[in-house]
Amino acid sequence: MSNAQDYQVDDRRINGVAVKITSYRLGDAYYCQVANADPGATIARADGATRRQAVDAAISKAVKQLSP
Amino acid sequence: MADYAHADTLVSTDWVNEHKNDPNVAIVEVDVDTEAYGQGHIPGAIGWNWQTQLCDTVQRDIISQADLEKLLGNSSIGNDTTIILYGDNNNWFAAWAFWQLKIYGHQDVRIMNGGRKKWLAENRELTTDAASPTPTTYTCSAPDNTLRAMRRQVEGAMGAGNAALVDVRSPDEFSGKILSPPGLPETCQRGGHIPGAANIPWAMACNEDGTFKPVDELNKIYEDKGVTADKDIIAYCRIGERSSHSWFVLKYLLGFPNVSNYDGSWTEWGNLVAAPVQRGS
Repeated sequence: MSNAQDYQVDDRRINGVAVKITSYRLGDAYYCQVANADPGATIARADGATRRQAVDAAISKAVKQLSP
Repeated sequence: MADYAHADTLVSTDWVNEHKNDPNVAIVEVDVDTEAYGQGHIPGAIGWNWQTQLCDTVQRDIISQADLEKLLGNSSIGNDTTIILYGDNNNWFAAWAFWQLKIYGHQDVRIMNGGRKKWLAENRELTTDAASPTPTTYTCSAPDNTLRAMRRQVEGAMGAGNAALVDVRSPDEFSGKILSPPGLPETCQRGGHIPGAANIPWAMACNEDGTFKPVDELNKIYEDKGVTADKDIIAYCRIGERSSHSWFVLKYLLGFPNVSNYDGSWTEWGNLVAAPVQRGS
């Protein structure tokens, strides 16, 4: 067991849709979730060894999910 | 939390941290995102999947009495257990689980104020190890269907002076500009809202940290739209989960006596043939 670390929420637009990108570290892994800003439902999720890896992977999935 | 009508249905993250190992307390995570539990949850918390465990998976319906008894029993929850629910998205599906547990008469069920978001933001302890509960036996009460609105009740409420329909979706869904929130699959044939409904998005009840707003602010939000304690209130959204959040606010935080959740919501109404639909704000 360990504690959530480096919890961070960032606002961004993907394909014109406002999203919130949440990321945190748990143990050796970073987790990232992309949710639409309203109503806040998850669009994509990923993990990685660094925050950058996790965020990039989640955004890549979100781009596909939100493509017109 | 003392000012809420039923303050005993809400607990803080501090309370959960102090009581998470109590033998008579069961902590249950229910997320919109069914993978979230696997990416860290409160130590000892059980995870319920709303898509497979909190509904009838054949016909569209809430969970049956027999299946809920099985779920609770397998979760090591007895009739006297204190159930603490929490989840992502400011407790959307925690509220959905709360609503169903109240329909089937569980006495002591509470929501962790702020949900998963607040627990994470406070850098609290997490684990990725799934809980391994010891099965027990659970017996549900007969369902209390006054907490649930079906289509015919909604039709009866349209235009009735003593009724208030509360559409808790976003303004763009309410107006008909969009059929569903971006990235979400469940949709409908027509956009708009049930005639006469007031648009009070669910998130208006929450602070930025995911906790519920104080009771005076909540009262004003609803009163300003004509939603008052003397009315028969029906909340709805798209599939019934956001509206169970608002149902919890109206019934348990504000203490309004007659509040039901229309879980058919817009994915039923917006697909009905010849159902009246209003567009615009």
